[in-house]
Amino acid sequence: MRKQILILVLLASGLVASRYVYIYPCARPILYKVGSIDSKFGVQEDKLLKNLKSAEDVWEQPSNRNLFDFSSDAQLTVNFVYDSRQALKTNITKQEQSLTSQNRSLDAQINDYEKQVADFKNRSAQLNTEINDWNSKGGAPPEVYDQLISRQKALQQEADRLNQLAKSLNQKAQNYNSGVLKINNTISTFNQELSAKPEEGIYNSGTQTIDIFFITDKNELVHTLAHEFGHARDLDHLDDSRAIMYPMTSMIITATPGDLSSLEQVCARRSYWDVVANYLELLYNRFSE
Amino acid sequence: MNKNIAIGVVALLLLGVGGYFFMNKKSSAPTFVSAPTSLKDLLAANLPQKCTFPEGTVYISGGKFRGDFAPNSHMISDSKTSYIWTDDQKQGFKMTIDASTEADVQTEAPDGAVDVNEKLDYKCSTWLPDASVFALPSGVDFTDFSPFCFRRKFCPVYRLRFPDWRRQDPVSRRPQL
Repeated sequence: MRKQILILVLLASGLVASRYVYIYPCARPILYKVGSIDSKFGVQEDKLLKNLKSAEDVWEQPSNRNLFDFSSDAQLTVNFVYDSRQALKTNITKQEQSLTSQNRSLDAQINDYEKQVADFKNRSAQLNTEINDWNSKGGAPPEVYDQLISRQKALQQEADRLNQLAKSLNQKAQNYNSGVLKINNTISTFNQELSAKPEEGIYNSGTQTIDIFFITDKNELVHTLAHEFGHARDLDHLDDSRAIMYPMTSMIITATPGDLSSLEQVCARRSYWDVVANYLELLYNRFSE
Repeated sequence: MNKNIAIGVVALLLLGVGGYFFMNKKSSAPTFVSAPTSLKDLLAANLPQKCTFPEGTVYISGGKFRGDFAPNSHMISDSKTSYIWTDDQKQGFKMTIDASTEADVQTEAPDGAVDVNEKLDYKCSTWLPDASVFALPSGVDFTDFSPFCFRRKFCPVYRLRFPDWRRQDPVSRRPQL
């Protein structure tokens, strides 16, 4: 009986007191540290720290609050995890570079080839005109005839050379197309991987970790980091595709009014009473499930 | 019934003991008594001691606290995390109060308004700290009810998806001459 009274007294006094105790959720910045950076990304830590600072700025500048700070002792850990998606993307980029280089070289060679073909056709047409002229006159004198035959042979050699060049260019185009087949296979695998593992970043509130899986574009990375920072600060997803808290990555690195409104709601002062009431409600829901 | 006891202990932790023990770092004079005193004083003293009262036993040492409550409820707390369980259940509770959140709490009521600690007949004595007393029981799975997890309904994982434009289009082949 005494125990029940003790519990009731403590409970009652706690409830009364909690109405006058306030929590300021954003009074202090959330501290974060960098955990692992897979060396296969080939990115220096100081560069990533600058991106993390940019992600802080996405929230801090418009809200005029100090919401995040780097600290080597922090609990929130940002990891950069290299997996098959980044590997495939890196592979695709390398293949693209090689194909682009081949394409440019082939374009230049084909352009040159086509000029040579045009020149050949001109000279060939001119020779045929001269031959037709002489034929209409009943034939050319021997020295002219020899010259025409000589020019005709030279043009034939030229035609053979151009055909050989065309064959070579076709072989190069075929090699390029083999590269296209290869890159398209890689692209197909990459797209399948994106379907199987569609997350570019993950925030785990239980382990207090942020895992980043993709480093390709600066803005895309800053957006991803800012989004995960938003979750760490208690923000949920928003429906607006321009918002930082939209559940899909973009290149946008400016918080929308919706983002900032959510932040202000999260950072608003609340009584300990409200917090406890919320916890107890969740507890009740949990046990009544 | 055991759940009710556990909920009661959690509520106690949240509202009374936890609120004070984790947020008020003020030290006060050591209390070694066998006369009516408050749990507040016992906790605030933060000196190695073992206190018994009709409903159980409390151990305090080095910022850690253990309470064994009749008939079978237990609680262990350090400066950040509290664990609550009962002898007959494999499911316990865990709650972490983040240091930054802790520091963000400001009381706007006079101390007198917070009568969290009724004077009870605690019988306290000096106690040679024993680390095993603060060891968590094996075989009990502690569900995390930490504030940040509560707000998000039990520590969910958020995933940011790749945009559609991240999918790549195939490259076109070159025609032959």
